[in-house]
Amino acid sequence: MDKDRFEHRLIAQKLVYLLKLKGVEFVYPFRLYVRGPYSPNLAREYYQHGDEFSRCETESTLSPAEADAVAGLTGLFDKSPSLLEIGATYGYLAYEMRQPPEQAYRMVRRMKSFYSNEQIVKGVNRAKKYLFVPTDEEKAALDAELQEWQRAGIRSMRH
Amino acid sequence: MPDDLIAIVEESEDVNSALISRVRLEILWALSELGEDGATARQLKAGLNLSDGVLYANLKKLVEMGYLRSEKVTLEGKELDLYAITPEGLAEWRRVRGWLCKLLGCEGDTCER
Repeated sequence: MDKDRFEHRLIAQKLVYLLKLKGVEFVYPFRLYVRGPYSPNLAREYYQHGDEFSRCETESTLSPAEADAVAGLTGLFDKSPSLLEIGATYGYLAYEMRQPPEQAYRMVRRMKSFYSNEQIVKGVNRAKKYLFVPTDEEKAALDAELQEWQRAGIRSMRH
Repeated sequence: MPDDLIAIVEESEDVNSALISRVRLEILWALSELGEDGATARQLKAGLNLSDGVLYANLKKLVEMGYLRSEKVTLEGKELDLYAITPEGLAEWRRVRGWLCKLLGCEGDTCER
């Protein structure tokens, strides 16, 4: 990562924000700006510690759960700046401001209107996939539905 | 009438009246906490809900006044215009904000953002 590259600074801001939403602990407070979720404190860090930033070095070590959160995020977003910008903005609106999903989606479309509808849908869906944690009732409902499908599958194999 | 009439009138002489426009204040406000990172023109346009004409006319004026700097950056292969607030712009923004707060009778010298 190069602190002198706009693209890299954007990726760093959105990766850290999405990891924070996922539960990884960071000391950087984020607020919503025209760029989407952004932390001036994090920006100060990468400007002041450009060398460590370029080598992606830190004194901290990740716990297995945190390493999973990182792997899941990079696997889903593949460090795409546009998808990260869209996904992080949706995450802020839906998970931090607790806007209903439809309202959050409409707001992302307005705030990030310079991206295509396809990119917006992709970014929002990836954020949902990354951040969604089903409740116990949702898990039970899902299990019940899957059992129905499983039973139907077994029945069809018998015929 | 607020008690600090004299201070408001005296401080108004230090405020750049060319800055007292809704769009210019919104742009400076939006960029005031983004430091060197700034924001691209398209982020400002969509985020502040401005038309191209209004946005670019005001950005140009703010750059001429020395309150913003602009540079070209690349994102996913596209060249974009990035704008960031200068130290002069930040000082002027704080001066205007303090003066407006005083004028509106907010608590202290400045409002919470």
